Amino acid sequence: MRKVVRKPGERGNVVLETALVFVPTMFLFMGLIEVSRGMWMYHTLASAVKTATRYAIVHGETCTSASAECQITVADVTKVFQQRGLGLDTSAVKFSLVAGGSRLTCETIAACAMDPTAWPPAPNNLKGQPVELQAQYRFGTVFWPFGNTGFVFNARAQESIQF
Amino acid sequence: MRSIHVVSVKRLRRSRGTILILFAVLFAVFGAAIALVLDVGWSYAVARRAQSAADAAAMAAVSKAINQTASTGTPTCSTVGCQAAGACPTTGNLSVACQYAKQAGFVEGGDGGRQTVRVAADAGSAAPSAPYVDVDYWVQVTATQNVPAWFGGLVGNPSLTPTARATAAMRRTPVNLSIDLLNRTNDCFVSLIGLGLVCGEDLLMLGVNTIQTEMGIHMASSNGPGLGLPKIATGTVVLAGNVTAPYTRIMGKGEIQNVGLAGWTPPPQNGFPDGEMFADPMAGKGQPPAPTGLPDHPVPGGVIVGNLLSGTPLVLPPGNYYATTPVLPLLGSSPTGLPVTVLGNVIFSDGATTPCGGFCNYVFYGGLVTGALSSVTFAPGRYVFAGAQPVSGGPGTALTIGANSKVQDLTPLVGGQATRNTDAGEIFIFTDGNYPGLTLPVSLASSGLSFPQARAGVMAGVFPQITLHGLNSSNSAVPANLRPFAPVLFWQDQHNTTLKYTPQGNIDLSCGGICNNILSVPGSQEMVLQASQVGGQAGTNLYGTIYGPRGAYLTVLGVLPGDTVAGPLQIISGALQMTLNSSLKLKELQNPPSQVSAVLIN
Repeated sequence: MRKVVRKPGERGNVVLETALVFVPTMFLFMGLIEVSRGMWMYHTLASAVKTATRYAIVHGETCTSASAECQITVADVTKVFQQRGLGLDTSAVKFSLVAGGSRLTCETIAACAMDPTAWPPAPNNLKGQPVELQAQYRFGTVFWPFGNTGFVFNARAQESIQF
Repeated sequence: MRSIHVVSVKRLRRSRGTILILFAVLFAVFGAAIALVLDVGWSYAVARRAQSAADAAAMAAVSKAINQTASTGTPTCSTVGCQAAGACPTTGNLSVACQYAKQAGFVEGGDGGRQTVRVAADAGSAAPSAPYVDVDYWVQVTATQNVPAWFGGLVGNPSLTPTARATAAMRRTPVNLSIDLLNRTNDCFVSLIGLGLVCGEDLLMLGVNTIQTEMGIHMASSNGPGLGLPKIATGTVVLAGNVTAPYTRIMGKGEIQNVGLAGWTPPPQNGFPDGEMFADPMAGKGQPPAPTGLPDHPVPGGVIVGNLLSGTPLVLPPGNYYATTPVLPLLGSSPTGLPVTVLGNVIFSDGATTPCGGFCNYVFYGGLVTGALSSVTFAPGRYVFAGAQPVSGGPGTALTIGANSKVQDLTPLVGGQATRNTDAGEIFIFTDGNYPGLTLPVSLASSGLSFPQARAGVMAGVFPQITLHGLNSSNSAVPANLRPFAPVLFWQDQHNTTLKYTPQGNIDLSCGGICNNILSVPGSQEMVLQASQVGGQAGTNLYGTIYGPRGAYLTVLGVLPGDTVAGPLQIISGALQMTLNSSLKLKELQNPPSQVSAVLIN
């Protein structure tokens, strides 16, 4: 049986080296994963905002004049946002809807999801008028060393009412 | 003494590869994270592009369909493309969908066979994604692209298929406005009331004027305040003007300039963007067609003498009316090009109980003048006023009414007010001898006379009584090709403006911008409307729509305090000028004209 003889000063070297390499490597990998996750959240947020905005622009005054069924609410717009925003922590989303001089801000998605206010509201629901959705997403990660506020992602979409 | 630690090689060999496994596991997790970010992110981007492509394609196909059906009215599957979901056809309006999708980067079988563009369309049925909306025609475009999941493939998800769907529709929406003024900032004309060249004028109230409307007012100029001619504010009120309307909407930064005492309740709102709100509601409809095959009625001496003792009116049958010289023995007569004058009590009708089966057709070459104290009745029908000779270098007038005379139709006032007519109503087309489809009588064509552009509308002496009703599309006697224009009462030819219109009734943009139209008679872009009064009530009572194209203008003439134009009436024109003591009292029109438009409904 072959034996490897280690001198007394070499005992624990593997453990030490592993610890020295493993910890930063783990940070590196976890950091990459967290950045990736953050980018994923941002893409999802932007896509959800865009989709919800498009939903709103085809439910303007012309549409509601044509049929009462066409009337949508803040809750409806929020629902579209939620459906498209799979994976987002809804408690971390701050949601604002802007139409002309009307602005409605929900501190959380849950607040908007129950809001029966007609949207876009008259008289700012005329064809050609702008509708804007803004969303702020607080991306929490254990790797952010400066408190638990996390990064804040902003997404905004503006389109003109089509119908 | 330091001890020597002995480790077996076998144990060390057992430890080999641990880091490798660790890294392999981490790499897999890392790969999955990248897959989420890159693949999903990329699919989101593709989905957005697909949505843009689908939106543009659907709107383009419907817009093309509107152009195709301008002259035929309601679309059917024989006039526009209809199909179940499938690839684009090579011709027709649906082919345009794919051309637009291609411009946006989506082609059937494109990107190595990964893209699909599917088009479905139908006329007369509910749109599949918005069944609650009435539409004449819809087109639904679905754009998809198979996105290879390069990184996702590592974890077993080889592809994603972002899909976007858009539905556009052709809709007819009622134009529920009392006053719709179309002139934009750079639309200029020479005002005949002494201002010279003005640009961007929508409304000018010059005198002691009142406007009361039951429906809204739209103004398409975005000129701010200022009198630095030729640029002029969207609206200018000089002396004492008073406007009361449910709302007044102005494009962009347009404002009202007050010079004197002015009131506007509620105040106008500006900031509205360009778009359908300020579009010509008659765009895409072409012009009302001229009648054909009418008998000729030359008027010797240019005067028709009706019953001067009241009683039964003289019946003037349908046809082409034009003035000639008095008939001389052997020499006969020849056309003069001057207006036809009617005196006394006359009716334009064939004399039947239901005149002409419900709808008569007349053309007046050179204008029509009614004498003082006369009574002229227009049976339901189409009346074309084909030009008049210029006067002092300015335009002649198509229809002039004598002092204290009556011009009326067969629907009487109710309680002194115009109400909705049940008969076919009338349309007065103010144009010239070159109106499309108009065939000059042989004797006029060979005479060398021309019938140039004239001032549209009605001018009158003092105290006229004018009661007229526009086309009624509910009446079956109205010809099918005139129905899209109901309830128009006065139609000013789209050639009587400084902007060029296409035969389809759209602004001609083929010059790289808006094409100019040269008027054969300067000033003939003006239409006039005489305000009047009888016993303290409005003397001009109208039902319907008064239409003038963009670039033209309507002048409401009033002289005495109380001179008023009233009724369920809608004014569509480039600009509106109120002079002296004129008032407008415009009630809601119960059957307003429809505006055909392409809209994205889902």
